[in-house]
Amino acid sequence: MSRIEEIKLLALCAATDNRRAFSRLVELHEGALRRFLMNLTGGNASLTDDLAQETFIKAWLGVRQFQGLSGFRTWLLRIAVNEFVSYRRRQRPEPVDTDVLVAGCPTVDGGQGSVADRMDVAAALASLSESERMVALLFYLEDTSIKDICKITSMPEGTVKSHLSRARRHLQDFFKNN
Amino acid sequence: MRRISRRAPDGPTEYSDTHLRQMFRDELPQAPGSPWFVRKVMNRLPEKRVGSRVALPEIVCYTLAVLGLVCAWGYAFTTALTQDVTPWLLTLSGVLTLLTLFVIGIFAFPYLRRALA
Repeated sequence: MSRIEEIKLLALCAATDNRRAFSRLVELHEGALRRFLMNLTGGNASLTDDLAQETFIKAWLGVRQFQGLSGFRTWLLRIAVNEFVSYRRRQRPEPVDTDVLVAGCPTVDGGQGSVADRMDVAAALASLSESERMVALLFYLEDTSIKDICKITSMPEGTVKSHLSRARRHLQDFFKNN
Repeated sequence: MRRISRRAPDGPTEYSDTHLRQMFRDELPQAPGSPWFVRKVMNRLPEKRVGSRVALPEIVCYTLAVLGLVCAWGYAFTTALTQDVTPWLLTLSGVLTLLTLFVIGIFAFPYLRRALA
């Protein structure tokens, strides 16, 4: 979908409360958003769906405040990250279970990697701290720029870069040693 | 598309960002498909986004403004029919016309458009 079409749908949502336009936006973005949350939550599918639903509801409620300075996807990711952080504050963090993460889940590109490969990447991701995992997923999986990661996570650029650098080093060490 | 190997080549080569990005894309799991996800979200959306605390005073203010406008316009027409046209009356008519257009343009039209959508 072109940027202009997305803006048109957003304008319809903001000006006329058009639910059909919002439904189209949900259809377009739910796959990527759920993929991101799935890996952020360590494979918890029900939590992923809950957070994704909350994210879209918040987006609907706040669509008039969306100024369009960043893309809609970036804005959604920001809401999703806030939802995840709020959830984590309410809950005690659970260790990521890599068996659960890979069990029965197709890979992003349709399953080229073997289960062992997927386990390795999932395990490498699970070994990162939550902030590093968030930044690494945004940078490597979502192809988000550093500038947009700063907007999404509300972290200064230096912090994002240092998280990314630590995550990169950690991943490299993990793959070399395993 | 050629798949990049998960293992980095032997030697001093480090895992590059491209290599890591490809590994993430190839090997991280996707969320399981949920055909009802969009419908679930749409069912959970609140009906109206405007909070009632804001809407009620707004409606009261607009109603009072419209009533005042109608009364003032009635007074202007009655005066014009029974008395001579004065500069004061002309000014009042002009102001009322502009005020009416303003109310219709700024407040009434968006409400109407939203109601019809």
